[in-house]
Amino acid sequence: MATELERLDIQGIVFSGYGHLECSAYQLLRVTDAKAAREWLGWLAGSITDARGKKETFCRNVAFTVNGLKALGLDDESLTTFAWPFRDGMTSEHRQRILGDTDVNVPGNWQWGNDTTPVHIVLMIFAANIDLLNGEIAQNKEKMLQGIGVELVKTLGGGRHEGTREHFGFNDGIANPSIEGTSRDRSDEIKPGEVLLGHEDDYGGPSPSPSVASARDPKKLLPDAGRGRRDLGFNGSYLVFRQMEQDVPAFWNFVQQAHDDANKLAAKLIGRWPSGAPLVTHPDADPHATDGQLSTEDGFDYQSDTLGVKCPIGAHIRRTNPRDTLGPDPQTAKKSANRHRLLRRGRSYGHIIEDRTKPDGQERGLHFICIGSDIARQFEFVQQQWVNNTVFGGLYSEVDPLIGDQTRCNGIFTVPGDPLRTRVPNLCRFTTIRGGAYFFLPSLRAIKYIASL
Amino acid sequence: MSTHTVLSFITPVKAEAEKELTDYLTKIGEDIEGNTEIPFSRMPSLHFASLVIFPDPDYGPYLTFEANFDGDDVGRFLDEVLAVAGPAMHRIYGMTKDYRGSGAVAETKAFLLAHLQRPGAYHVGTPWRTVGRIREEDTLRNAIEDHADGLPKNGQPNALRKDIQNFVRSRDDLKFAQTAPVTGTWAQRNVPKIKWFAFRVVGVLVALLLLPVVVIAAIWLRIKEATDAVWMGEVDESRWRAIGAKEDKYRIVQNHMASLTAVKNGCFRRALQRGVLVLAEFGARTSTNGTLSNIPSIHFAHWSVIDNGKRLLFFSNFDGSWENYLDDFIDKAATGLTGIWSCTVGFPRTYFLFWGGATDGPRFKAIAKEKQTPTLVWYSAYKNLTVQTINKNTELRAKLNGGMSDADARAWLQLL
Repeated sequence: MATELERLDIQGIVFSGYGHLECSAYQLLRVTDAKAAREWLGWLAGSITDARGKKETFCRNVAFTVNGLKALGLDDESLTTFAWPFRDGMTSEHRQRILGDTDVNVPGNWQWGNDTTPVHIVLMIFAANIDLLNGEIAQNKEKMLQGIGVELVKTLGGGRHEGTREHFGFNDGIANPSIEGTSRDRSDEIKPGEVLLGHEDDYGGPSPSPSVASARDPKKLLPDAGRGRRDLGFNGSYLVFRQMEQDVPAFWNFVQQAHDDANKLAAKLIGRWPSGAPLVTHPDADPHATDGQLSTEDGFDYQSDTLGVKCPIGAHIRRTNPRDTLGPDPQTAKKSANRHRLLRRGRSYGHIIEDRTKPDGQERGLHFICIGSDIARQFEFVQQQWVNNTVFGGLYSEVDPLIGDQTRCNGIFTVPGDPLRTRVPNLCRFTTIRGGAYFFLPSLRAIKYIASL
Repeated sequence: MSTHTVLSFITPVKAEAEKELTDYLTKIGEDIEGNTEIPFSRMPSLHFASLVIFPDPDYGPYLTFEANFDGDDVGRFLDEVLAVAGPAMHRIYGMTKDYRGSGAVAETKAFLLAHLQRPGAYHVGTPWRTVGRIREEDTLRNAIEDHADGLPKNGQPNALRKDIQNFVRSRDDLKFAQTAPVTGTWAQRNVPKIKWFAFRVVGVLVALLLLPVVVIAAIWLRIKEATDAVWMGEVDESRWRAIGAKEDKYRIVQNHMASLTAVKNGCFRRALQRGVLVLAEFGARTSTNGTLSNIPSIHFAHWSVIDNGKRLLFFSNFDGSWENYLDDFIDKAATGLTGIWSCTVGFPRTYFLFWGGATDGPRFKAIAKEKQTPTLVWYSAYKNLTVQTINKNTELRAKLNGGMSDADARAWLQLL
């Protein structure tokens, strides 16, 4: 086992999604006065939740875009030591192609994170009840009006969400790895360096970490990185944020008109039943269809279902985590697939719909968040090579049915059968990207360093 | 002989013309289907082609024209090229050294033949299949897919199959599917295996006879491997961005990689480099069956030692993203590919040529990116087909006719 991680220095969201806190909000900020903002950041550093895992009633974490770091005064040379995707941002032409942000999803249509509404900082707030949450949101707003060097771009209110079902009605967040040695459930672990910068990753080396010249850290706030540098990234990570609107009536109306058994087709698109029970082990019916219980079953692979007759090759969970399927040898395939795991920390936002087939004019969706040490190898790889790959796993011309780059209701989805497959035509877009950005999630030491610039 | 030819034409570029040539090729590359200069799609035997200008500090820039085509007659292929792109070729090679052509096709052809470089080792992911056949089999598959949409999904396998067979027979444009495809002659399939066997027998005998030399060489190799410098630099960002900007640009499922690496100094390393390619070539001709070291997604790849053994040139046409391709190298093919690159400057540390190396994922990725050169012009004859799909289509067609058991018919239907 690796050396004990410094929980006091790591932001809490790395280790925990704060499942015990049902309310969430994300405040998107922009720096207006660097000096005042750094002062505020110095104060904020003392109130950031660390990773000791104490059951707080209120948690707060913070992350920065590349423009945010620039605006706070981080020098250009240090900025070049950050990973390319982070420096490029989510909206460059090449990254749009990688992520499948085309058609209605082009960044020009976003509510935030694009050129018209840039964002510098995200303040992530989690609270045990809605009063605590709203109190904090209001207090922050007031502070910003008084002039702390940052202005509020937008508050993404998550509201209160009990349980783990996302808006389409499926139990979510099941296949979520944990960092080696940090969780009681040790069945799905990844190396610390797959998440934390400067730690041992899946290739055995330390994950690449941004740094500053030693001369720029005279107070030695950051750990030594050797060769005249100090480690700005150590114990930090990158955070991918995508606001994804879900069109619940579009989804359910589509499956209802496409199939006699809407629940079954919906499950085929996703790869799990609404309870979370996987199709590969429960191919015919949801074991919890009537008792309302949730399943977190995750210890399966696809060797008993190589053709996808139980769980379609193109099902959302099979695309985003193909486990042991890609390649002639299952063990190699699994090892290879595990280099692209996402540590998910997202949450639903908006009210749960009353009738899943009736549009109610309200926006709802997912504040998708994933944390990892290598945006290109993890999040972007999954988007490019799996989610939006039209020939994924031997398929022919289709993308992920939930989050893929569908255009204008002409997608298809192949449901393998015995003996003959069904091609479900006219698949529409059920999710739309409303905003997003790549953030740097610094260690507590690094936050103090940025505040000291 | 194989049914494909994989090669490149290598010509030094006139220093003063480098920019003009780069601009000209870039323009062609940006409109690969529509440009009238080099209408690749009118060269019926061409699978993949590329044009790249490699910078070389010692030799100056040179132009490579990579071609992967059907048959073994280079002259006939050049006739195909020059018939539709004669003036463009004349213009392009007019910017390279030693070209004396007046524009006459025969002169350009002679010039290209004089600069032909056959690879030391090459890989074909879709053996025995011509461009025409790959396209035909895809047409067949699409027609069957559309027809199958209207069939009962849980019918009897053989009844469904019969229905599909009748459908294919009813279509004039699918007549080709009535005859079995050719998969090479006995000699084409077996002579390489016999040669490989003979090579190994002779190789073992020679090694035994020269045992002391082999032992000394092995020790010498280990000393070299332990002390040779490993490249620890950072990838040149602007160049890699230029390459990245082309990835997936035209929304096709394949990508291209062109790279040039320096072979380590000294005759020992250069001899080893050539030796490893000889082994790789035997392996590729005898045992890969369309997969390259367990990587099932490479259409054509080839390696050439050029410049008197001083450079290793590599071209690959593969399915998926670069990141995925390099991952496959690391996870599935580290041993074989480490062998091929182990004698090149800066490669991650190896052990006895074949071990270590590419398993150092991050360093391997870094040097692979550093050595990659932007592809200016790249053509694929079948932009939406992966090796996997092409193979599936071939299987669908090969087993289309005749009777089979219910179990086999079921498996055949599940190819859809």
